[in-house]
Amino acid sequence: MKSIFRNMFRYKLTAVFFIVAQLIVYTTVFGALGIYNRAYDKEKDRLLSLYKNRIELSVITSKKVDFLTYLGNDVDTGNAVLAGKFSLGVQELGGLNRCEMILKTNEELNYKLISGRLPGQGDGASSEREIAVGREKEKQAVVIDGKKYFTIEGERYEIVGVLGSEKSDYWDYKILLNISCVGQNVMTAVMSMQEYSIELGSNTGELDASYSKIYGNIRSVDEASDIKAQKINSAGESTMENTMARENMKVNIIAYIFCVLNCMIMSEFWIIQRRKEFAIKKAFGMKNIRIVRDIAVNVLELSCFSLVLFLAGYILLRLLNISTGFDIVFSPVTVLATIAAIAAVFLATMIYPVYKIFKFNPVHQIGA
Amino acid sequence: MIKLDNIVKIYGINTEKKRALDGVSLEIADGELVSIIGPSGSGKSTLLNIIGCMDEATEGKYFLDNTEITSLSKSKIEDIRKDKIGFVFQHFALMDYYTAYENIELPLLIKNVKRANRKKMVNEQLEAMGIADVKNNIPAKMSGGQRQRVAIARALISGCSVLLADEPTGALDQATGREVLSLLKDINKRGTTVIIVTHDMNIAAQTDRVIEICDGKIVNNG
Repeated sequence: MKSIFRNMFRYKLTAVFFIVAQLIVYTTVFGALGIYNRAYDKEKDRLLSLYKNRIELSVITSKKVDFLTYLGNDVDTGNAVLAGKFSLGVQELGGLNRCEMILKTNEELNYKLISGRLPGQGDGASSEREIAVGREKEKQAVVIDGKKYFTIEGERYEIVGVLGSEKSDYWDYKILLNISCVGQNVMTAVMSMQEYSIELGSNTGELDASYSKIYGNIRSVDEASDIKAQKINSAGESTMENTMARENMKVNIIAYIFCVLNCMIMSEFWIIQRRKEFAIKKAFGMKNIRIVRDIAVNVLELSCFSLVLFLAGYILLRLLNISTGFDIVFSPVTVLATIAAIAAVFLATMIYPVYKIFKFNPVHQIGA
Repeated sequence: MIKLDNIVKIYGINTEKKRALDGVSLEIADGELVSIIGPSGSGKSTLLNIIGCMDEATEGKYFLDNTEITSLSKSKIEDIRKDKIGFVFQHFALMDYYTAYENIELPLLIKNVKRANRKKMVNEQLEAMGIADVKNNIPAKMSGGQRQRVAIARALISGCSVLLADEPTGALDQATGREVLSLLKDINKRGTTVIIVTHDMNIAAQTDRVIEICDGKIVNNG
């Protein structure tokens, strides 16, 4: 062990610079991996929230009318949710906030809760004003007698459930109502919209019959309404790219490239510093391939030492509750990415030494 | 046995060509103590490099122990350097960030000698050269004489049959220079062929044979 450390730090300054560059490399790699994992988990949660069979209805009413209350009459397959750009004024959050409203439930809803239940699914009467919100929204709630509330359109709603996923923030900003437990003010606000996007979804059955009934129900209330519908078979547009862009993935990638380039430049400096050593080794009959092997071992030792240092630092910061800006998740992807990062740095560091050593004439370097 | 047959060494290309050695023919028997003298730029170091298989001749043939070096591959030449030749370079040429022990150990590492054997051999060599007390020192923390002893110990440790020394006393004071020369003579007495390049006539006078070189040609073959 002592000799390994002696070999690693024989050229102290270069070794320290190399380790610093490697630490930045690991930070960028794990940072990028963290961003990717978050985006991936978010996308996974988004896909899980999609029903197997979906129909999207776009409804434009001809007048202010409550068709939503009757929309689910005799519909026995699938769930219907008012979504799209539907927004309501939430006092605690300030201004209009995008919401979703459950209109009809025939099967399990694809919402993910971390605590509580969905609005309108309590044991008691469903006339109470209830709401479920995402983790981030919940932080703004007012607490009265141990219960949390939001004031929407001037009406107080009890938060009965918190939406969220352990892995992503996909649910953290959602606000969910149920038509069976909303107040008059909210209904009035909803009725004044006149343009609606309704999602009909089911994981268990076909939705054609349900759609026909919903169509009839809307028309029975507003004959002149314009209803457009489309079956949706795709998973929709992926959110990964947007999530990664929002979290500065590019900064990590650029920093990584610069670090790899830095390692290349440093290897040049390293060779200049060690040329006498290599010349002497060659003069005494050491083969080029063995000199290259020794450098490779040296670079790998430094890379592994940097990795240990990085992980130790990460664990220490976590123990001290200091944010690192990323989480290290031990998975095959993490292991492969780490190996790839080391390999890239290794290759970048080795290119110049290999070229130089094979071109090297010991006579010129020793001056014998 | 070293035999050079009409060796020519040309440096540079096209109009910048310089004939460092011009038809050098020479024989040195096993166990000889030879000095090569000549003014600066006369080609003595080039000759030593070719004898030491560190440089290739442009023309001519070079035989070492009846093996024609000039026809061998680079890899074979490296093996010959490793097995038969020891170098004591001008200005010691020690590895600056390595201790005396590690510098002397180098040829054994190249020969893949086992760790325990290496340790024993290096310690013996350190004792024999009287530098055991500086074994953990890097060259910067050694005197000129100690550095040269480390260089000689390194050259001898692999059991070379030919020891080449380029200006071995050039960077030393007179007293230390005398000590080093005496050491080289002792090594020669034990059967090693020693070839010393020098421009110091006093040193050359103490060798068995003096080869004088001028403008790349041997003018006196001893």
